[in-house]
Amino acid sequence: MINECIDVSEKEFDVVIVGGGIAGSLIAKQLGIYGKKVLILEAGESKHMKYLDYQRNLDLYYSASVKSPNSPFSSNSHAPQPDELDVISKIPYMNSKGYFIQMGPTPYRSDYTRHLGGATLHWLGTCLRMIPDDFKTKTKFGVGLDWPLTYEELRPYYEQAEYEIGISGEVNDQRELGQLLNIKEEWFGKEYVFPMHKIPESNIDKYLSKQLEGKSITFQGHQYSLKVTSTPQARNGIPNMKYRYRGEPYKPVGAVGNDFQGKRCVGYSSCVPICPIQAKYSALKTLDSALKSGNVTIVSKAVVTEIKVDGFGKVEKVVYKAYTSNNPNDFSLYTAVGKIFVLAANPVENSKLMLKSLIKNDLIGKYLMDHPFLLTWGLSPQLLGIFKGPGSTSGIESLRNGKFREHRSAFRIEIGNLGWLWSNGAPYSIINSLVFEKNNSGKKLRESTYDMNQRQIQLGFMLEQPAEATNRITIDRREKDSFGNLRPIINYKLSEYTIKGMEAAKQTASTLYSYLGAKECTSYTDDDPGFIQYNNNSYAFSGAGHFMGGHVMGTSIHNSVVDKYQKVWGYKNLFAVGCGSLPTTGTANPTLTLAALALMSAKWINNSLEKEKITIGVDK
Amino acid sequence: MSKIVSLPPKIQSIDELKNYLNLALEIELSTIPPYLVSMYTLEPDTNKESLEIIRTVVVEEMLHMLLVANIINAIGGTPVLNNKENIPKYPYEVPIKTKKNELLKINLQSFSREAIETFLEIEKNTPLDEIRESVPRDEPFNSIAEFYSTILDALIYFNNHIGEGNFFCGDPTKQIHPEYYYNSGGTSIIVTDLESAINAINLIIDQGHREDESSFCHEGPSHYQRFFEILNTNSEDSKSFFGDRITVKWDKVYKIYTNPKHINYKNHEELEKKSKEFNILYSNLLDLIHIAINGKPEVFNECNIIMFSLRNKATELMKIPLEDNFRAAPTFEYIEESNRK
Amino acid sequence: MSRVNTYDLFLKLSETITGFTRVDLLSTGLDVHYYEFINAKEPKTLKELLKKYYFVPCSDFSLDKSYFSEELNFLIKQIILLWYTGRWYINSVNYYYLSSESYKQGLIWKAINAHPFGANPTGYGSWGKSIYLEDINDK
Repeated sequence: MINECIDVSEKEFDVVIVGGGIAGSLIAKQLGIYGKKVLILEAGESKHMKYLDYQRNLDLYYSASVKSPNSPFSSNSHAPQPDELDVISKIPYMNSKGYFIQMGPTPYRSDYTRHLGGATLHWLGTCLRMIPDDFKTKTKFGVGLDWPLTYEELRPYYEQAEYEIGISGEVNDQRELGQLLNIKEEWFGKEYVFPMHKIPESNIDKYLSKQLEGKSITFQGHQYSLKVTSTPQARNGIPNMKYRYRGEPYKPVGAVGNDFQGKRCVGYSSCVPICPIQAKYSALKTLDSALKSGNVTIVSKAVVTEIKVDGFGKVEKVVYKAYTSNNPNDFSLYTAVGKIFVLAANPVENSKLMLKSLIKNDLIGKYLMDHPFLLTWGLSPQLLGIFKGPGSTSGIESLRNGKFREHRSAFRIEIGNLGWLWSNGAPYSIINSLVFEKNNSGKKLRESTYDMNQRQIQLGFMLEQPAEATNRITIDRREKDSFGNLRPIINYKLSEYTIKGMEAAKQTASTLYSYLGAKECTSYTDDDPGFIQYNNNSYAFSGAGHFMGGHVMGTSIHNSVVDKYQKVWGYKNLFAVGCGSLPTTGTANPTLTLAALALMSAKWINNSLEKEKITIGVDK
Repeated sequence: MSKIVSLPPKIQSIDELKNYLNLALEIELSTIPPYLVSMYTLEPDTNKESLEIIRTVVVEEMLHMLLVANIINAIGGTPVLNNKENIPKYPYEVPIKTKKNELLKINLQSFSREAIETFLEIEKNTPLDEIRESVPRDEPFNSIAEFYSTILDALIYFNNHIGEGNFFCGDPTKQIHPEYYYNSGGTSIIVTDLESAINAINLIIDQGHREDESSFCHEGPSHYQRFFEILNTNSEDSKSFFGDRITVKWDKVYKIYTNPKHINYKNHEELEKKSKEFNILYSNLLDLIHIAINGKPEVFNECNIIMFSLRNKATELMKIPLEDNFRAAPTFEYIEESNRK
Repeated sequence: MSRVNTYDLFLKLSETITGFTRVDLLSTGLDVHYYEFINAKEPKTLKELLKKYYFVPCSDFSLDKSYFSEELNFLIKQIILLWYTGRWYINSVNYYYLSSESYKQGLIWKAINAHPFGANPTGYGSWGKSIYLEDINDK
């Protein structure tokens, strides 16, 4: 059942979940299936659970001047969200005109979406598993933090996550990559296949793959292959007939509210920010199936403002602001009661809520991370057949692990299918300069437009960022917006370790463009908010949209906020789940890992509710 | 399954059955261009619900074509789609009777009440007790459901008479698997025996022609019910496709000449070129589907890409103004391979 | 010049400056809309442009040759970009989309043999087929 801004204080739930994004929806679905009564409190709107309303978000995208990640998902004053476009400068206060107060010294450049479904509404859908070494970077490389769990423990939940999200991929491509990355552990189970066959590689994937065959790069005397690998992704493709989940073959899940759409990607190329037919997974699908259990209630337009704890470390209830209009005073305060409370909002929102509610732990808000993203671009000598298909279908993944991680960040390289869209605003930027600067017109303009766009290569380097306590989210009770919302205060800096990674990334880019016979066109200007100079070279990073940290997991209350089941240390019934719990970023886009963790938490939460039942039984 | 049937008067031999199944293929194909044309005449950004409803029907008609092809292949026949004679020309006459006791004629025409009424005639059912066991040889069928019911009887009859193994003797590698067909409620059924053939025919009847609550294996409103909702948006009898009442703006529609012909564009050089490009692509598509259903199912993935290309070309044609506020339209005429340059 | 004439001249001009055929322009469905928009926005300049254009041989047209004043040249650039992008450029940097339809009908997508992001999809796997029929037909 979905309701807007209603009062649920009369009801009692087994589990109250704050946030209807992917983490919250996966937990709600599992617990709903187990017969638990679940409430999801969602700060934003839920209208788009209806197919035709979802389509209205698409109209916002079409008419938006800048088609940024949040362009289809408008800002809501009761549940404000950061926007990539808020960051316009290197000067922190200039970047603080939106939701965040940016303290710098470097800007935090990512954003998220406060609408039901969360950031999976506008994500690309890349679903890589982290590599086993990412779980022990402190031990292995002397950098960052170690996880309180091993890859092996998480592996079955990765498989479950790949089912729940619906991944298309070729497991043998991953196995081959595993060898290049020197993975000794069983990365993918012996018999394992992905639910659907890999999404076909794009023309540019195939071109790069051919040109880079057998090519490598050397770092500190070690050779590393430059192999192109197909990307497992949360996008519907052709079901793999060999796949079985609990004995059943895989059935692609279509659009919410219209089973006739979205069962296979047809190449709208607008994955970020919106898949028109929902062939790309979003949490709306999991929510839709969670609702079918009959045990899950969603209340949208309900912003949780406080966690109320009794004197014994037990959460009694959460307070939420239920708003009915876009007027600052038009809301009521209600409470929600349950046995277990799960914070499943974005890491920033989870941290903000715990800080505001005086949850006792000095590490809350600390270790904020992202994957700093370095875009590079070049012109190929030949036409590529691009500007079609999903944003990216392959990457160069073979530099994600190595001894170099003792000294600098690892990275993965995303091969773009959409030319210089993100680096330069192509194809528009090209025609703009052809017309305004070069005075082109007529047939010549048409030909140049084709030629200059169809030879564009864009390689995005996604860098690992180790946890540092000084990168953090804080609040100041005096810093509120006009609706009374506390504004997150962000302190953020890239360490030399990451910048050295950037240096290696840029070198790798130059090597790649030369192997491709392409003209490298990358240039960074000092008016870019992410501009950095290091060893006399210039770089400009952007955000990957991967908020991580803020309530990292660890082995004790002294080194972390949550344990490996994402239960908050020192509290009997409080969980904080999502990317906020990750102690390392690795070089995998984090959603799949957060999903695996959420599924592990769901199982643990269910078990503890069952135990409680048994205890009650004994008492009687 | 164990139902004892006698040979339907209309189908006296296995060859006749194969011909009837190829007719079924033709009829299923004949519905697609009219549905598409009515869809394309909807002005941009209007009537989105109707557009989506018609689109869902089209994808299921595609499925029906493949199911029929699977049955033909299962009994060792040859499904034919690359022959000028088997490609519908419009107006297309379906061998079933309308309410007015005339043969049903399908036109390529603008989205309109009249068009939707025709669609309802195509998809209408005959109540079970009115389906005639043996439609006389020289009489038309009362509905497509009755047409399929006759085919079903013949399938059962021959299966019982010559034995399942002898009757379902086709090459199983020719079957279009669920891997090749996607989208929409319902997935391809591999036909290897009587049971799967019955399932395939029931799925066609059920998705298309159900008027009441009874459901065989398909959820959601039938084609009949979906078109009914467009005509009767506020009626209590309407099954709601989206869960909410829809609105239909009958005036937000491009006017086109009914059953447009390529030859009428001959004075208009650029338009003629675009129209020809469309027809060439359409002909290529049918040829490729023919190849796909004759032993190369993987070719169906190519067909898919062409369908998107066709759609884009059709919507472009639709915007080109002719005289008196009429618009150009795709003519869906099959061009033989030798004339495609 | 009558309205019909100027509209027709506008289309002829558009053919010359965009490199697309009349039918390509018409198939956006926005020809009348664009004409009326510009006519409302810049009535005098458009009139002057069309008058002057009438006497320039198409085959010889170029923005580099100074047939036109700077003002007229700028309007030509605005018209080119309107057809190509669906955007109205106020200057070389700032713009807005006329409508969501104008975004989708931008001829730039056809020029680069692609499709507007978020509309007119090309089908599963089309991104891995360098040449298929559409390419052949368009080239």
